[in-house]
Amino acid sequence: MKQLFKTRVEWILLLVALIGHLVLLSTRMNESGQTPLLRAWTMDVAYPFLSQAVGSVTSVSNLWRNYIDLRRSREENGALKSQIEEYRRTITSYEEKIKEIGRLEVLSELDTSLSLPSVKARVIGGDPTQWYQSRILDKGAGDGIARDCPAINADGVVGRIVQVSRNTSVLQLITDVDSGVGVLLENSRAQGVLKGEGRHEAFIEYVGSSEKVVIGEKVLTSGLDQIYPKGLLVGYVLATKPAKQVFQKVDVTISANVLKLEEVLILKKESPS
Amino acid sequence: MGNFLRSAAVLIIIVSTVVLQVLLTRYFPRLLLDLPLVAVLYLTMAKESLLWTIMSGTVVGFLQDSLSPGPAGLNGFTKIAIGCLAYMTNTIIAVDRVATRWGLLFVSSLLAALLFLLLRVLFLNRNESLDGERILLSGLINACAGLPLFYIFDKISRPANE
Repeated sequence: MKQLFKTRVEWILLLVALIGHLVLLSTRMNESGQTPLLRAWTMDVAYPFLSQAVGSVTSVSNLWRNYIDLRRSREENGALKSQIEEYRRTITSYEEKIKEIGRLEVLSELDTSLSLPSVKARVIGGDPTQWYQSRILDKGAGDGIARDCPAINADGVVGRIVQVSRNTSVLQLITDVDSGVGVLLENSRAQGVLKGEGRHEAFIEYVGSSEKVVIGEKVLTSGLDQIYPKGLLVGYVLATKPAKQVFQKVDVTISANVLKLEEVLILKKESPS
Repeated sequence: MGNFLRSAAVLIIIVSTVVLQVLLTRYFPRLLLDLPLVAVLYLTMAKESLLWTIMSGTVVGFLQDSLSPGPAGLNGFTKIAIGCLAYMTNTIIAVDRVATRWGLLFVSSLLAALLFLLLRVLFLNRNESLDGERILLSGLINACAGLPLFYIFDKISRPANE
């Protein structure tokens, strides 16, 4: 019912408008060169509204355009930001590569200076327990690595291989509690066994109490353990403590930063032939 | 099919904790978190079956031992023993509240460390020095990290309608 009423009103309004236009059209036929007064007034009255409306439309249009521009800018900004991020990542990766190349170059120099068969390996994992000091390497028996192969880096001895599979191996660090390295002190030539303490430090056992050990003295491999070649740098003497009976305990700081190990050089075992 | 998928999810949890542990210690060598232990304790409490505890402890222990310099069996034994203790505790006390779970994780972590060291002394003839501070810290870390991990494991291994 309400719908029907509305339709009738619309019909009436339509008729009025049409008739009104016809009336206006009929009056135009008598127009002179000048604008009719009624029309001029209408125009004057309409002007502020129109100008405002146009201004508003322009403003809205500008606003919309600005909004679009802003969105575009934002998108562009986002794209540029991601581009910058990408460039940053690329630069970082290049920097990492440069550092890695530097480290590998050092290892290569070490490799040639040692004149021992060796293989470079990358650290791919840490110890799966919290009790040992070990690293998992990306090279294994397939690359000629065997158990007890010593591992070094540019700073000194880092450990030895204790487990080997075809493609990977487990490196026991010299700081591991189960590790033992035959060492000698550079100046005093005192010999002993370097044991790990599970942290960055280690200590030397079986150094006679009568030996004069100097703080800061170099600790080198003695070669007596038949694992590590003689003369490789292990660390420096940190302190000495009197131990049981005839021995003194020598605390050592390890020269290689085993906590931040990334690549190592594994010295292959020389075949008997 | 559902059981198979859940078992597969459990297996993935077990393996992934060891893999994650290896990756974490690669970058954070001083990390005292024992993710595999947390996984075994989770399975013990979630499955409420000793078979699961034994199976998970064996797999986790074997994986850990294989990737570390230590002798095989040390971690497996520790995990199974601690898992069984947790299982028994779970049958006596309902370990479903946050506080009890935290307590169980903490105590289990301490016992696992002590048992590990004891086994090294007894079977490997090592002179172990008891680093109480480290063991306590490890227990705290495992207990605090274990709670959110339990939640994540729950989300992975249990279907949404459960």
